[in-house]
Amino acid sequence: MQHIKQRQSGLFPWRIGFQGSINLQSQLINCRTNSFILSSLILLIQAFSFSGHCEISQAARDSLKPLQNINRLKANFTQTRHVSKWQTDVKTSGKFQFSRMPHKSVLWEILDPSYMAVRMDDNGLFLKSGKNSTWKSIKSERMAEQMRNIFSWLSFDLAAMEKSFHIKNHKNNEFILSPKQDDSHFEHMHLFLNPDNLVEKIRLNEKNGDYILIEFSTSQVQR
Amino acid sequence: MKDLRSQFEFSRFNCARRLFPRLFVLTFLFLIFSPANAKVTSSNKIFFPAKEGRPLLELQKTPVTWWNFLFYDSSKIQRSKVCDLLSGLDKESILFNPCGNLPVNQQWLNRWSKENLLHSPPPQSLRDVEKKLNHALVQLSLPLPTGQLEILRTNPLADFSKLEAVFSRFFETSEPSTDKWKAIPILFHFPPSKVSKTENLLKSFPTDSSHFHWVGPHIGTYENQQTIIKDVKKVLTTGTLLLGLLFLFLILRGRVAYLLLIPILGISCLFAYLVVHWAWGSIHGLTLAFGSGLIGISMDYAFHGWKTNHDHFLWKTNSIGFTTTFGAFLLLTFFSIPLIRQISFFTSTGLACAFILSFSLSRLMSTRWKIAPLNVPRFNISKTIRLSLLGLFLLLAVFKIPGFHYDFALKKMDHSISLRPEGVSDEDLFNDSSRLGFLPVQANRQEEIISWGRNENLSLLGSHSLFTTRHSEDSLQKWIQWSCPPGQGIKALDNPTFQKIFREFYSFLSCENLQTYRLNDWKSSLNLFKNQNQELLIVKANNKNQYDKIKDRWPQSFFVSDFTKNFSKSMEKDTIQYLIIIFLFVSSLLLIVFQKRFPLVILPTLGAVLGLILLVGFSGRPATFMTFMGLLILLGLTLDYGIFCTAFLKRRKPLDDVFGAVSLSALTSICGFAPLAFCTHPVLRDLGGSIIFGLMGACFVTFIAYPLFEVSGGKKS
Repeated sequence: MQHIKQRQSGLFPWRIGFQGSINLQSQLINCRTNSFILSSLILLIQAFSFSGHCEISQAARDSLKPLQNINRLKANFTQTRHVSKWQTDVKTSGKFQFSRMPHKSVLWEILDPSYMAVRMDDNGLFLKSGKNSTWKSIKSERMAEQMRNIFSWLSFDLAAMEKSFHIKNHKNNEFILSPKQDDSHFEHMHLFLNPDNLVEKIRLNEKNGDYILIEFSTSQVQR
Repeated sequence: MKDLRSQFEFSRFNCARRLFPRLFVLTFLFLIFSPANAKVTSSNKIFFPAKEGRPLLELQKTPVTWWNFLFYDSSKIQRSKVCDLLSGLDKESILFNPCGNLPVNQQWLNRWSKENLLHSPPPQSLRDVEKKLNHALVQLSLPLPTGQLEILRTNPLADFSKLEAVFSRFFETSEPSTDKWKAIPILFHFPPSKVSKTENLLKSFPTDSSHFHWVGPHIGTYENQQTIIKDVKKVLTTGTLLLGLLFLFLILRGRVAYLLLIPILGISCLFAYLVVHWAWGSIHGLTLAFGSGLIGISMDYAFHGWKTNHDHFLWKTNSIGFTTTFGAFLLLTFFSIPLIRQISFFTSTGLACAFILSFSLSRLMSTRWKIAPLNVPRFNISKTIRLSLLGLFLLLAVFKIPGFHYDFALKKMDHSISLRPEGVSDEDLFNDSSRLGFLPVQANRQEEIISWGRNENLSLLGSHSLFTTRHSEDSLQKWIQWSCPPGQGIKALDNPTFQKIFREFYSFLSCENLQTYRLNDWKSSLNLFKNQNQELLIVKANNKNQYDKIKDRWPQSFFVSDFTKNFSKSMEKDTIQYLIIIFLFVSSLLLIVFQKRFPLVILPTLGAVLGLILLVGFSGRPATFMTFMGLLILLGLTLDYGIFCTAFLKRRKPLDDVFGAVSLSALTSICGFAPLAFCTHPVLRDLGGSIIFGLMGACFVTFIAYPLFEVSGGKKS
């Protein structure tokens, strides 16, 4: 059970009032939005961090094997979201970090045009909405479940991975992931590896026709 | 003899030929002059006393209380399947459905996202706006559903990123569930009083399945109303049929004159309706339904007083009977529950009118119409058997007295609770140990409240802004001042990306739009809590200690559990108080008139009370508020029996005539009220059951006990 004391900053941060409006609802909407943002970030991280485990050919599996030995990984990314309804692109950029030692942790930081970051480690899930803000713990059963999934991915648990996705080795360096559940927000995820078998870009195709393209650059790998 | 009979028949026909058209003209005139704007309401305001009920009625208008829970049997069906079924519900009627990809009603959301801007002051600088728009862009780059993108697009100033997972918290703290039954909370987009909307909504969901059960204010209101409608239809059909058969029997027995009671009752009801409408401005549907039945008590006076020869003695006893009944109902017009007040006022007015009409027609009856007394079979049994029967009845009732218990809890009058399967309940939000409360607080005291809440580990479930029209209009004026000067406002932020992506936001904040923008009408709801810029916080006291602390610090806070408890206590106090007052009033009056024969007068009433004790004792169900209301009606009926019989005994007259009148009165009451006892809804069932058992007890005592005194009175020839 959560209490007021768990609120870390701000007075009624969700407080959005208007005549006859329902702040409870607004909280719920906002938090749903918030939860969804986190889920989206988690999804992106999942997509990126899964690289080495999939239901694929032995050759491809062999080629991905070195990824399982990565202890630390840093990369810059550029993210482009194409909103088909508005016929426009929204671009952001930031940094991604993955670390296996001393404990598993993932950091997804958007730096431009504004700051937002999400961190996952053994202690849970945390969100930071501004550079000068503090990390906020997100305690939610649903989030926790997703966390467990992510850590199974991070530890290259192929069996757990295959529970959620059908994985296909489309070309030598391209993999297609299709969600097993119909209620997924995505239709497909395309994963492209570079000649060094590191993730080069990810394209997430949404069911509504939008897509998100994440391109990684200047990766630093420590094995 | 044949000539005499044909003369009598002719006289009867002639009388009817003259009387009926006059009465119909009178009724027609009443209808013509009745107010054109006559209003029959079904508002639930009338059920609650002003003091205790007002906060609840105000809260019912607050959308934060419009939550309903869909319970599903988790051992038979998965949540995802339930969510699929929920997606078929009318989206416009749902404000929040956690199953959906976008859980909130899109249309409402669009308006909300625009309007909530206007209730905060405009930003200090354009730099602040730019920062927030950039932040919104980051969020837009994430894979959000289209609906949520729209919110960000129309209101990018709302800082979503700072928000915590209250969504999860709300459901974790307030979602009732057991091992078998899990619940999905769904917020409806209309108040519970819009029953037809609830019906439409439920039609699109397989509610008949044993795997689901809805619980909540909307569902409760709907289920109760549906049951009452079904019951009332059943009662009307059966009651009309029984009364029709009774009148057919009277016609066949040559007492066609009693048919005149129908227009008399009609005119009395119409008169009472006009008076109540004039005094209250409107009349409740339940007043019409119950009040009309109660005016039927006036038939006693016609059955007793309409005889071949107009007898002043009969009308004298009728007057005493009328005064006690009229007085009792008049006293009830001071009851705390407005509905009881209105029904009593309606009944006393109608009774007075019916009594005057019956009395006026009595002389006419005696000259124009021959009404022979209705002979009822007398039980020629010995005094010993009579005494034994009475003793047995008394013993049985005394034996059952320890089993007599009463419960005025509101839930005893809620049929929807009895429909719930075991394990399905929303009571954890409203019981003593875990209470849901509403705290009206000044918005500028939030800091204080939050810090206090942190220290006390309070669960805060949400809040509802109570902005006044003035506050909102002031805020809108500030936005106009911010937007309208040339080269200022949002148009000063000349960024092509922003202008393209946040096109709707730019257009909403344009000077032209704001100057013509009309805010949602702030209705006069929430008067109790309304103040300039207030918040209505929803808190959950997790234990008695927390509850005490909240009440101590915010005495004006309102807890639903308090309301139900106070309301039940107030009903109990009022009912017992009024029973005593009415008993004292009636007793004093009867003591003055009958003096030492007073115990004789109240014999049928005692019989009715014993009948009620037997009903409660054998059924095992507690007596409820409606049982006591039935007792009040029984007072009106049974005292008349006692008065008629005692007056006859006092005059040393045989009881045959009066027994005929009592039988007819009891038969009409049974025809009218017996179908209620077979209703499903506890309110109707308890009322009908108490009247029927009370009447049976009263009749038993009347027919068995009074002949004992008749014999000892020495008149029996």
